[in-house]
Amino acid sequence: MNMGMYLDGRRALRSASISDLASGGSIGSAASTVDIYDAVLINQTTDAKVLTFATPSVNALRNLTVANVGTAGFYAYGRFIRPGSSHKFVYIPSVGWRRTSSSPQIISQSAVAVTAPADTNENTLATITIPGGVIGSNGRIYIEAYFTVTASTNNKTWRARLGGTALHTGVTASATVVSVGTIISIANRNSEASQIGTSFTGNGVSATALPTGTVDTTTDQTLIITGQKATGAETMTLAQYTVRLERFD
Amino acid sequence: MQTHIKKVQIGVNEEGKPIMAPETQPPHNYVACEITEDEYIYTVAD
Repeated sequence: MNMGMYLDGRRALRSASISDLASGGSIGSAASTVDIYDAVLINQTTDAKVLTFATPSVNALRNLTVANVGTAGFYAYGRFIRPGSSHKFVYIPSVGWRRTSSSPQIISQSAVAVTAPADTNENTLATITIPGGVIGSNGRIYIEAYFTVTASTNNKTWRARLGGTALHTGVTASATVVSVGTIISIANRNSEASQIGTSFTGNGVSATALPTGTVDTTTDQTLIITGQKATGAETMTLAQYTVRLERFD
Repeated sequence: MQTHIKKVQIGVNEEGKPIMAPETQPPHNYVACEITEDEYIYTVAD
């Protein structure tokens, strides 16, 4: 721990070191954390957990800087803190802990190509855990995904499923199309158990109504991006994707 | 280093086709992924 030494005339934050919180939850009692420290260094090695901070013993405004010195990202009060990053939280008297920024943030991404096998199953090409409560009642998951496909008139279908429910479906079946870029938005509709998704393809239009869901996002859910081919011998590759969390509260 | 995760069926889609996925959460820092008939093979940088 660091109790507030001075470095070049400026006081370093009083900080505590906290080991991996494998089940998520509280980082510790008020007396051992937020009452006496300005910052915590969390060595998180278990992925996608939600952490909470104790209510300070004194009901007064205060800051807490949270740094992730581990190898796995975690969430706190709607904020994702990936390894090697930090965020400042503020305790608002009689309100509670709040993040200090609501800007959209990337919670998962990859540019490692993942190719569907030579079959006609719906194959998962990316898997992302969305911990319970991180979307909020009016938040959304925003995905950009880019595929390469065989140019043919056979269907190549991509989907995004949250908790098993397809909240985006797109299809290409063109003899001239070899790549597809798509935007997927899965939004909670003023409820953590009601969603609306998207259905358009790369050109932004569709004859299919927007899909809806009733996935309970107060509990952990798995988001998957899948690919399916009508003809197994053709190719369909998820070339890259980004998943962003957008909170509005 | 490679991580092998069993491929399992997690449901059936709107077309009656099996939905396949890794049985457990994949590593988040993989640098390559191959999907075979029965498993996902992730390569993680040493």
